[in-house]
Amino acid sequence: MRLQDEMKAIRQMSEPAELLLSHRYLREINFQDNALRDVQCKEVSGKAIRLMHGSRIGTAPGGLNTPLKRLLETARTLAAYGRPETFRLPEGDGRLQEIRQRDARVQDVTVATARDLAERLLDVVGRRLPDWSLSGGVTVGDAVNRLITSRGIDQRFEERAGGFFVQATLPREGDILEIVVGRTAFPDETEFEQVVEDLVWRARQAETVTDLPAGEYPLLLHPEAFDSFLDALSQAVSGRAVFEGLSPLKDKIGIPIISDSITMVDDPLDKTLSGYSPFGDEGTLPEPVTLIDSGRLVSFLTNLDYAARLGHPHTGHGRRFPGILDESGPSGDAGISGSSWVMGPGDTSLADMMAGIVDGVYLLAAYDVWSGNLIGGDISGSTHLAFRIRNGVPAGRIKDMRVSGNLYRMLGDQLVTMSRERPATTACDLKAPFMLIDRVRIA
Amino acid sequence: MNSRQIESMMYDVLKKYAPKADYLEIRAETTRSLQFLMSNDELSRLDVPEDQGFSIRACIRGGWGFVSLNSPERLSEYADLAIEGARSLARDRTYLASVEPVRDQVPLDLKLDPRTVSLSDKLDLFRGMIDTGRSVSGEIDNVSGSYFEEFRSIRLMTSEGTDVSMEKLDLGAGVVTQAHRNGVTQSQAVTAGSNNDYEVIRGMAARVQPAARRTLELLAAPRVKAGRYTVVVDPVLGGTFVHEAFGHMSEADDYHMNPRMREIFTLGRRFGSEGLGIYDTGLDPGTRGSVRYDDEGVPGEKTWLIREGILVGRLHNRESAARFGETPTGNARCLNYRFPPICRMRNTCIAQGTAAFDDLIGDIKLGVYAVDTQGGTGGEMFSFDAGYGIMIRNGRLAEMVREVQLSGNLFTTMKNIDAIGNDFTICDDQGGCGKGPQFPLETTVSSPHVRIRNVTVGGV
Repeated sequence: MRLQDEMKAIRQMSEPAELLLSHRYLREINFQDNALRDVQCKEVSGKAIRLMHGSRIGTAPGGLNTPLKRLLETARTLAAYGRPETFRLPEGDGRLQEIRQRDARVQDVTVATARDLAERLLDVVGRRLPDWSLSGGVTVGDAVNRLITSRGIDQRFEERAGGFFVQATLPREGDILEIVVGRTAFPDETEFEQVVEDLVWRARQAETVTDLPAGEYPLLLHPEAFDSFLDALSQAVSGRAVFEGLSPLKDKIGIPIISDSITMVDDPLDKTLSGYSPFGDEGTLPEPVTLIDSGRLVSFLTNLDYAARLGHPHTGHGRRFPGILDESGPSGDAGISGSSWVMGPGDTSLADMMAGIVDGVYLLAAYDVWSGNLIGGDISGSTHLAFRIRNGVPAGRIKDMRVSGNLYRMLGDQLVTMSRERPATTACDLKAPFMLIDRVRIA
Repeated sequence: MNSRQIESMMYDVLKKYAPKADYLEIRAETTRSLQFLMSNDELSRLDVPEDQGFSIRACIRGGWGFVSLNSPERLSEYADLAIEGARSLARDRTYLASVEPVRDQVPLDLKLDPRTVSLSDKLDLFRGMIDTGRSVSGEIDNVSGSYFEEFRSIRLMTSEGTDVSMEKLDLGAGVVTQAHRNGVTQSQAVTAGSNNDYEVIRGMAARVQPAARRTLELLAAPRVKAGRYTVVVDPVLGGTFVHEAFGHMSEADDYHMNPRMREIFTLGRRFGSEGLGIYDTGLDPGTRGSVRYDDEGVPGEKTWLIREGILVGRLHNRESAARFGETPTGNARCLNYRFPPICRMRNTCIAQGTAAFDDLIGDIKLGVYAVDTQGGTGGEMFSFDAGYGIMIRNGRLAEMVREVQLSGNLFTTMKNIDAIGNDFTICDDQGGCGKGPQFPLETTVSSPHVRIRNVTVGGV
């Protein structure tokens, strides 16, 4: 059966059913140790079925060539074991809803222009950091995702996007220094220069190593590092964790949980961020969701299933399609996942924040953040890149450092101030200011 | 398109495009899996995903082109792209250590085939384990279970005459017990993994109740006081340590073109004490990390990395082996057809030592016994998280502690290993190893108990 016929068959089914189609085409240029290494071209396609059969949910993901008939049989068979149907599929009028999003910066990007960027990075950064070894890659992706249901939904999202990263390495005896910068976006000229300047600044500052005795220090937190800390919050605001009673925030809607200077919005419609997702992967149309308003918890994130179980309105955060630059296919069922998070700015400058630190830490990137009580907000992470700040200026890189604390307290009574600047992060799915946090435990 | 037609297309593409490259390989892969997730009473996910795909990799004078695709009818079109990509990056010459072409078929060799166990029986096993965990206490508010089995068929052909067909099984499962009290959440996991035996999944059942009890104990346990300690790690954590801290640094393709890194990792340099031996092997049957042939068709082997504290080897693919003038070790592995093979670990081991456990802790005045793992990251600076810890006081195990996170520098920590136990254990679980975007790849770790001086332990 051709794909067009399969789509028609789904539209005509009497039982509630969804067909998801995903087709992506990725082009990558990778470089290693100051030389271009490989070109990669990938077709990544797949399809998946979710249906309600006998009042239960069955799913079946497969390859683009897997016959629809087999996927439907599998989904119906598995529905016998599946969880009960808790929600109804949204209804549509059968007309195609279509959105095309092409980042203007990648409109005309080909393998050749991606290669040009890689060569330019090697050239420009290589001249500024001649002793360093540079590795990384440039990726451009085209994606077409389509959701067709037997309830009249037909959504098609076509996207082109790009990204790149550079890892600069300076191996020395007993100290293999690595700095990583990048963007899940294709840079224009201004951003290219910003990224290069950022990389060179970090590298230069990091060449000097310093010690820091264990203790409590003021912590200047770069949004890149803050992004690692946010796992604790994203787990806690998931409708699933709330429903299962695991979230410490489950009874705190309307209650202050952090500083009243913080407002956090999950914004799937901000085209400048990589979490842009105008369709909600379950036939819904998502809108920005205010999670925290002036410190008060406002909303959880839900898909259709957990919205129904909690008795909340759904927020359109059911996710089944991977990111455009990802190499996996669509999933049959929808998990809950945030899009881009946007936090309001503060009222001071990064320069003023740093100038006010007598002896503290500037944390730019964390390796991993973990704790047995992560969902409770306890976090502990080893740092990828952190500088000691003495009398307002960076005074060398701190090696082998761990930061620990509780996210809600760090963003609560320990929060001193936030910056007006909200710089881009590597993942480009967070817009947040620098934060100065007092009395943070460093070991 | 049936398998005979696909085979014919692969031959045709190889014949047409091999003359245009120094090296060309074509891979065809089909997978069929079963995976499910349970949370308390609910089966929250149940899937039988299947996939079929192809990859082509070409090398021309050192430049590589790689393509992957799902549509077999487009193999020729994508072969052109691979050749074009490789040609566009051609430099001096192609570095590939020579190997004997292999023509072989590797069938499944299973003890208990999971396909002979019905889905109902599998679900019942997990329901039973979840009930066991929940029955320990009302405070156990969530017990979740996860299971996967993946059957994979791979056909690999190269321009040098290698033609290997491999059938593989990857099997893994976990049960996590979770409890919370007064804003503190704690969890413990029971895991298992294998490449040939469903019985290891059944074997998890006896470990669920102790894990649930330990979860409750941890709710009341204090966080370990942060600082530097002498730490004794159990085999799971010892294996995690050697994987994260040393194994990743042994993957030669990360630095085969970097003169400074090559100097730091010169064979013959001392990295640890005389009692320390580390190897990586693909030869342990039944483990998830066992590799009969790697994804370049090179036979798996046992590769010594450290012997008596001295660096004696590294993990190679064919290119890194050629660049170092060394022998391929069978470590070229890819996550699936969507990625090129790169240097990856298999079963990475700290070799058996001589010390009894009591001797390891006997002279420690204040230390930490770190048990089990909840993950970690590697490189020169490593960090990994223990499942739990027990304080060592005056040579004896004392109170349980939580939030035990170990971090440090590879070079200093390796030298701080001062005693190795006589209780070598293979530790397979359902997790996987990550390198760049290729995550999770099935690997195994093995180790005896190991004592390390002066380790940074995170906590309060």
